[in-house]
Amino acid sequence: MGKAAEIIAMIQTILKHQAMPPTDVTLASELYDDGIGLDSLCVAELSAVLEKTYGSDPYTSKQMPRTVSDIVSFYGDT
Amino acid sequence: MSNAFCEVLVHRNPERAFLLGADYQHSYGEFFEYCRRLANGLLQLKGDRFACYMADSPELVAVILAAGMSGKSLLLLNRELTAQQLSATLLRHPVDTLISDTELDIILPATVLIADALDELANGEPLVEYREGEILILTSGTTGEPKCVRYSWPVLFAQVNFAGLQMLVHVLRNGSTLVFAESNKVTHALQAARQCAVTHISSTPTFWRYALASLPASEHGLALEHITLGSEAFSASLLEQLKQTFPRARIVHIYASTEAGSCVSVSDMRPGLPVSILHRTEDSAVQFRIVDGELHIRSTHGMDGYAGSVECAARDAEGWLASGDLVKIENDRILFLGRRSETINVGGVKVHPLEENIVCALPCVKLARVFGQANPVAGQIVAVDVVAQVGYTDQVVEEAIREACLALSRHARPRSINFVAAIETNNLKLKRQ
Repeated sequence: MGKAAEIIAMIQTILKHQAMPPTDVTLASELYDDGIGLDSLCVAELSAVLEKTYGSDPYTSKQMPRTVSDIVSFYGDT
Repeated sequence: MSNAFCEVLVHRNPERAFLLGADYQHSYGEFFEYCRRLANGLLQLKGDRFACYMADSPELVAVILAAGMSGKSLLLLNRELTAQQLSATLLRHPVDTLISDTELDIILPATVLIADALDELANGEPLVEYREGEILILTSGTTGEPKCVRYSWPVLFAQVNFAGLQMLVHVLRNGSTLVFAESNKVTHALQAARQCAVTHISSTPTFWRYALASLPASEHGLALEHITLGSEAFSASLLEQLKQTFPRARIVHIYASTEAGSCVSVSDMRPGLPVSILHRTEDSAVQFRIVDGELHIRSTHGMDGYAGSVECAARDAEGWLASGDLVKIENDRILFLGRRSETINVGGVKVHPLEENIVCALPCVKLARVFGQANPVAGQIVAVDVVAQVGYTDQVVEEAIREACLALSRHARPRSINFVAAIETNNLKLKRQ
């Protein structure tokens, strides 16, 4: 599985933890309330999962990704 | 609330907007008239103490103000409490009536009044003779069970400044307008701020981190003049990002506690507190000292005391209160290191790790350790190390833990679950750090 697919799977798992209905998540998806709907606790969880999986995450690096693609780009993949 | 004070409120700019939402506007005059009638209605309720379990709304503000006028004591409950937590809280802190904005599918040790019935209660004549009501607030329970702190309205209006009531008190004191968002989502708050040309926002660093992440890179449309942060430690980079995004805004962080009230506000754009506060003289309203690495506070304001028969010496004989905040001095700054207790601060909400009992009780879990894990978004998140029982896969155990933790408030649920072979202990206690 490529990194983009892994990250999308992580986001879908977090949505599932919130008992939110399954949503189509794509690279272009906006992460927050105007898009997928991740709130601050979900974003906190996402940053923890990314850090645990890849050893770093954009939020700890003071970056503020707006889309799934921004996160993928942080790891050097497009 | 005293007669004199209520008269000031009632007659202040009667036409001016007091509460503003997406599809409603209440003026000072109209809203206080309603509160006076509701206050009279509250007097018909049995008992002297009631509680409210309501989301931020004009109805909640009406209950708070009407209670203050009626002389009844009002216990403010966190709307994020689960039904079980609500029941346990009311057993510890009994009230006669609970006003709730939702039907509760649980038997509670109080008469439940659904907020829809408030209009009916406010049907009569307005109250004329005001009495002094008290506001009761639960502490985060850092040192054990949450304690119930009493505040009189004169003290609240004097200088108390903490989350929740802070904004309402600020608006009442200044005759300004309080804007309600559609929900407590950050995006909704920002949307309401944009639509209603909000000038002041007060919230936690977690709110601001999320807001910065979700705002458009340019043209965010917010004309903020004043930004307040509180309840959590934060880094210099957050202040810098806020300044870049809102160059016209004055940025202030407040250090406060439920017991001591507002203690100090700092606007020098640096994290932590200036060391100079340790040298305040005895005639200062608030003094600080550091004892064994913990910040202690002595204030002339703050709570009136604890409610009920709580036997606890919050303040020592000289009036000093141990804040529970561990600090260090670096150059000319007091920097926050964490809490003395094991409390986890998730986005400004204090969570006790003893919630791990709910995880340990699962048959698929051999041992678990709940702890606060540093997080760039929420300050800390709840993390759990788990030793699974033989015969269970990690996936099965994780799903069982997540399902069991649905009974907890959202902030208290583990956001990181790690499977480990063993958990270190120290004197038969779990090592948490």
